[in-house]
Amino acid sequence: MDKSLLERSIYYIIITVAALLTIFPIFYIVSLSFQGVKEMWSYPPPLLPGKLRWSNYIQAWNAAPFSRFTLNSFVVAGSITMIHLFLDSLGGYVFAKFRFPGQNLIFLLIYSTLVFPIFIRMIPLYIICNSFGWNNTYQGLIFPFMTSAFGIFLMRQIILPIPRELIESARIDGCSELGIFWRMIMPLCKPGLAIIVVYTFIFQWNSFLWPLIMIDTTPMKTLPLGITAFSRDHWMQWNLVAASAIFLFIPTLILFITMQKWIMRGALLSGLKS
Amino acid sequence: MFSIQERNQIMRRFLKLDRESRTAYVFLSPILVFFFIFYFLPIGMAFYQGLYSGMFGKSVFVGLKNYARIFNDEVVLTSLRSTLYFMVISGSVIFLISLGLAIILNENIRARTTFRSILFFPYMISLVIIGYAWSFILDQRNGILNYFLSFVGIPNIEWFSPELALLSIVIMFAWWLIGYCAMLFVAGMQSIPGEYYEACRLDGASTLDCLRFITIPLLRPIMMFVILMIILFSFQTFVLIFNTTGGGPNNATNLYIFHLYRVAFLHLNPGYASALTFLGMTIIIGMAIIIFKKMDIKFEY
Repeated sequence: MDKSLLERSIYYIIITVAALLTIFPIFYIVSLSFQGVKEMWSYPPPLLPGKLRWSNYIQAWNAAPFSRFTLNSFVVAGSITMIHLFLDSLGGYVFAKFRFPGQNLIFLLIYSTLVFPIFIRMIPLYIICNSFGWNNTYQGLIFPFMTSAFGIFLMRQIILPIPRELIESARIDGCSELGIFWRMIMPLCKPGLAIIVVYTFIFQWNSFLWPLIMIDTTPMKTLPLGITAFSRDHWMQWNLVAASAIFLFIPTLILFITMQKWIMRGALLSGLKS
Repeated sequence: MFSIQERNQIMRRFLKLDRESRTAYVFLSPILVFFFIFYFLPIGMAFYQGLYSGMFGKSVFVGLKNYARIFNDEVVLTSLRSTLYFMVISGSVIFLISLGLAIILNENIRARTTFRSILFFPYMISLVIIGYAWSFILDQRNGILNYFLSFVGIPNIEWFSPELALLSIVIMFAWWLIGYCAMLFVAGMQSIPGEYYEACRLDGASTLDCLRFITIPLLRPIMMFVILMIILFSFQTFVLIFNTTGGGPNNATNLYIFHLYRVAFLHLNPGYASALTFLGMTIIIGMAIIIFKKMDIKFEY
């Protein structure tokens, strides 16, 4: 493209500034997590720690049951993700490859759930889960999020291109419907599954409002709740609070770096589907 | 739930379907049950719950008084006003900046994918972390931002004062979402064929003109989608508010979603909160319908 040098330079400058502004808060909280109390409160506030105080992390980890919190978060986010993989693919498969009465109506109903953010369902959902006795349990955190319209539609997009002949021939060979789904369809939608894994896990890992509503006993708290509680007790100790926030941050960072391709693909897909 | 007669009727009708439909329904059944219990049942309960007042399990029927009470409740009205301000300000900021960034990111810049990834990253970060990170940065006495500003001669700004606290939340929210929205725009731009731009250049138009006459009109559906997303995501500000300002100072950041949580779980009045939820739901659905209508207008050149 024959863009003038001036134009391209302006682009580079703007985008670099944007990137720096994006990175700075992340950099700063990591920096804070390594600082000592005195240097933290000194003026001018330092950008970089004098030395790397790993002890902050150890201190924070031991000051509250963070191992339990992390376990809870893993169990909840992991279970939800796995159930999602199964149900989303199943739903996507049905809507992609089956014709049945009422299919348009059901499709529309599921589609409509995209318009309802959590806050609309929040209170009645709490009452429902309460009546099932799911307060302070894993079930209470997992069951309300087992599948989603987003996941079902994503899998539907992925499964649509699979040729009907393939499925038909498997049927003729006497394969059961479930067998077709499990042994043929699922392996063919790995890209979709990867996107669902990344987005669902991270969304549930970061989830705050629902666990806040359902959990009030300390042993069942998820990591975000644990960090909030911890920060209330250690209000002035920014470095420790920052360290605890990094506990939450690390899996996100790892997932982001390893699953780069799927994350960006998922973002582009959600833009295109509109 | 159903009588024996109805159950038999349903079974008979079910067995009459062909194998394809039967399989479909069997496969779909866990999903349908899920959506019924966890989506449609709660949504249906929302209005009904609003007719009660009082604590969980011990509420009293008050009819439409809850709904009437909303209009006299100063705190709720202020909350609605703040939420409106918040949506307009953050919506415009996020929309414009992400659109601008997307235009740049769509060009053939070196390390384009790296830039895209960097800008997208905040969306993956928990708002708990974002809340704390920015509270440290925006702190009045020891915050690094005020320190930087002092270089340019700007005196210490109290970012969490009643006047500015909402702006601070806007900053956090925008930092979180701009990258994501930019990617949505980039996705939309990629579906615009390159020939349009070539034709535009051949006609002698400058970059800005190409933008005005090709990119922006063709992006209308995506723009509406992005606005819808911003509205739906704005409920996540709850996490930011809870971890930074707690609704204050003086209810300055007491956005609707936060006040709702307060009424339901801190004042322990789920009935009134349900009435508030129902009102919020009506407003949101109204906005969604308007946006969906606008999305259907496609320009074909």
